[in-house]
Amino acid sequence: MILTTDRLTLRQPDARDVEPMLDFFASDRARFYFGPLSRAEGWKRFAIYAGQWALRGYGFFAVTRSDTGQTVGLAGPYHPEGFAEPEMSWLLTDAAYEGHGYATEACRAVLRHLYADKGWASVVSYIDPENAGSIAVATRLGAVQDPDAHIPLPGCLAYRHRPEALA
Amino acid sequence: MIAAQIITPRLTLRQPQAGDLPAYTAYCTSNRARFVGGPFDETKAFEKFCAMAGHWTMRGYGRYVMDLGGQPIGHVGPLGINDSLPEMTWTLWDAAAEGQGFATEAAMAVWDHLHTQGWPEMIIRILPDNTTSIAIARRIGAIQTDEAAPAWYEGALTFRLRSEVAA
Repeated sequence: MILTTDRLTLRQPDARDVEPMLDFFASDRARFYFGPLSRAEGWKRFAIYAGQWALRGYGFFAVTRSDTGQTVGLAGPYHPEGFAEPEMSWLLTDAAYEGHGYATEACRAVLRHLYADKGWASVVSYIDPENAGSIAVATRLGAVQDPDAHIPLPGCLAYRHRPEALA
Repeated sequence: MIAAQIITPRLTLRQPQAGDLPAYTAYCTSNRARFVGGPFDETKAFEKFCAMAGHWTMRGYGRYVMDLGGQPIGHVGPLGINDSLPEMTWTLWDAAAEGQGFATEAAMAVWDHLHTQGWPEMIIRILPDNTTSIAIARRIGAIQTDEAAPAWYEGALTFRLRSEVAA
């Protein structure tokens, strides 16, 4: 499964993404994603993300720049045991990739895919209230806070994406 | 190229798939997982099984599920979390599958395949009270060494498989 946008190619994660993801997990940027983590723990965490495809049939896409092939992040539905529904999640691996609209562009493509190809009616995102960057992305995507959502991650806010609101 | 599937006289060794999850979870949440840091809860079992699938994505090799006539009975194969020598692992998920040589048959077949693919050596770590696995290690030609256990597997004995003794 490959999704393309103006600037980005989204594909299933593979060996090319390991180093950027281990750098990400080792950094303070991973504080909203179970981290920071050692290389060994980061490796396991990324294996969990990559392997979810085999168990669920959906999962995180690696977000890459189409011109350079560089991995700039992940975007896709994260769905561990214990979540009542899959969570639309995303991250940029390095601060240098912020401010370009990559996360919004990638998430828009993934959401369209989930609505059009998989028939999902809505998707939730759980976001730490201190993660202003992700709240801004969710808002740009048209998501609004959902007071009725079950929130499996303590302290997080639930934002609900819907096809009609996708900007 | 590491094979995605290996056939032994009685087993099909194949990549993990969604249908294996109930049997794997039953193992992971049972006392049988005590030699590998368990028992674990269902959330952790799901993550560990995702990681088993994701390992293949990231490394191009990984652990196989032992499939006995359509029934998943265990897993076997190389684990390569960090840059050190990959570790050979095997586990039968249910006591009912023990005592019939399945783990030995499976581990031998995987090691045969790996060393024909140019793998010269593998490491095996086993806790000293896991006498069943120690017997299997010896049966497949592994030699015990005096190497210290890694920090993440305190007290474990170390064995090595080398291609010249596996013939």
